[in-house]
Amino acid sequence: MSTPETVPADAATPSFVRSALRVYDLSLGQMLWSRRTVFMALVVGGPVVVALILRLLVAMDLVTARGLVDGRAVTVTGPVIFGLMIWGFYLRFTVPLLGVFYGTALIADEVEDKTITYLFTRPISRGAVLVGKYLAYLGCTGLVVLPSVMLVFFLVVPLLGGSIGMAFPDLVKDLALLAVGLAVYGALFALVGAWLKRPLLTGLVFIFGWEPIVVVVPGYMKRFTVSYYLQGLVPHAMPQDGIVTSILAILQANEVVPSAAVSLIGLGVILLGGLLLATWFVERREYVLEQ
Amino acid sequence: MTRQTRYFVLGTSGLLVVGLCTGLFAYYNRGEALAVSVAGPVELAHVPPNASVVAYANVREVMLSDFRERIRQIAPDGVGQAELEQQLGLNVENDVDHVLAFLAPGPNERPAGLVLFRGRFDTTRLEAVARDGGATVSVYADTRVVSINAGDVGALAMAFMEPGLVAVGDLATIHQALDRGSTGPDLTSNEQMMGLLEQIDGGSNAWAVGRFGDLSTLGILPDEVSVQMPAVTAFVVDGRVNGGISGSVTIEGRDEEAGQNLRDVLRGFLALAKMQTTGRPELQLMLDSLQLSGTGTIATLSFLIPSEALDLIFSYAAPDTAP
Repeated sequence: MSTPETVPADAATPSFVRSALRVYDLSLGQMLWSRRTVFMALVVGGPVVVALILRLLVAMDLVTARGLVDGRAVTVTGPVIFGLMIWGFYLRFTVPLLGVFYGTALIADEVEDKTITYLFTRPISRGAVLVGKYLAYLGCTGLVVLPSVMLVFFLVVPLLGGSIGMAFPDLVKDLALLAVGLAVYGALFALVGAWLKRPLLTGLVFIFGWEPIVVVVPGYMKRFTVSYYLQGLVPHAMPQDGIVTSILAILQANEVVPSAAVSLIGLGVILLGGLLLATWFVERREYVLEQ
Repeated sequence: MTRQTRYFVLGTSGLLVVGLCTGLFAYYNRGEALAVSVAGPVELAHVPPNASVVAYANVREVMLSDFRERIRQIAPDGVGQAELEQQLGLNVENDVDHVLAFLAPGPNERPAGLVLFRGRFDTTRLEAVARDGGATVSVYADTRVVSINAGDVGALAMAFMEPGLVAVGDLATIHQALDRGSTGPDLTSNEQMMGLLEQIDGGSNAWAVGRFGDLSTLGILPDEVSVQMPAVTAFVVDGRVNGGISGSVTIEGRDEEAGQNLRDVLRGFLALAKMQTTGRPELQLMLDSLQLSGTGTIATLSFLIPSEALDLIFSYAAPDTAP
């Protein structure tokens, strides 16, 4: 009669990285084929539809490269429009919104569905669960947002005398910037999701209330936003909104956009701080499931 | 990971990779396969609204083109480039990106012009060379201006408008450009000239536009020519230099009758030229590439000389290398 082999404790408990990758593998499919993805497809599909319409209008000669703004002739080319779309559609809207919806849901969804017990009773560290889910969030959003940007680039940039070759370096910067934005917003809202009880509401207030207001207010408060640091890395010119720009110019007369180094450090601190704190919260917090 | 997820990941990653590779290919072949914007170089802000002629050349693209390589084979010593580099520290092939020039009515019915060079310049060395040649340096509107008296022509000057932008022209025009700065009215407020600029082909790396009426006023055209061309109002010349040379010359007539007359004249000229070049293959190739088009007030003569035709033309021009 054979005796059952005893498994060493080290072999039974996989390492943090292996655990995180296993959770990532499981969560990526769940995230991709969830109802939330339909929402994400709508959000990132919008700019592609706008780009298609724009292309159609240019083909029908309904849009010209040169026009008059405030009585002054201005030239708008494909790369300029692409830059505005990156700033307006993606960095100001899509990236923060996806960060809020997915980041806050990493732990909160499991709590709400009362399935967190199944994850936390596995022989893996709780932090690895969070990190694995965070990696799945990055993969899921990155694989949807970045191809959308690529499509918009090829649809819009060649319009009105633009050159794909000339604008290519900006595309690479934009893709990198969006990936950084997704990572930072995701880490921040992963922390919010692990910490607070109503994380989605808090996240929405942060991106649609706190960030737009604080960026306008003079002083140091804007340093407590993500968009302030992302702004320092944007390769394109910011859109000029006439009156709004004038008011901003007066308010921010003595302030400058942060340098690339400051922006990178700021984003790095938020990313690492958010992820480490979120892991710390998940490791220590007792999640009480509502019956 | 399920099969469905795997396919999705592979599909979207593939799209990203294909997009990046295409962009990279376009980046390394920019100027060949894809159009280059003629949205107007930023120096248009330094061109006055009453400019009569504006010309532009993307020196960097031309210097990097195959055409330049062919010229180099014929004239390996260049055209005084070594002297320029030695004296001014200026390598035309690498240091100058593009050039914009304009002519505008000046005082005393004399044309006033300016040439703006965008690139990388050793301003200290340029200034020192100018000083050695008897020039004086002054500061006007916070900008260093180097000027020298050139006798009947007046005072010629060179100003360092901004980092990487040097203006050369007569002193009064440079002062006007500095006074105007980048906030005063510029060429973009001249709808007629902007209309001409819109006719430039997007892929051109050299172009010029102008109004004939102004040229007569400026006294540039001889009286005989001015009298003969009262019906012509404007012209647009653009070209693309690369492996071959392509371009077009567009002339705008005063009215439709003038436009028709212009097309007839050009058609006759083409027929005559073809008769004259029988038996001269290098010229016949060039003439065969000429195409006349246009409707209404416009007459356009476009041409495309492929690289093979250039090879033939240059073979006639090249020095005899036979042993």
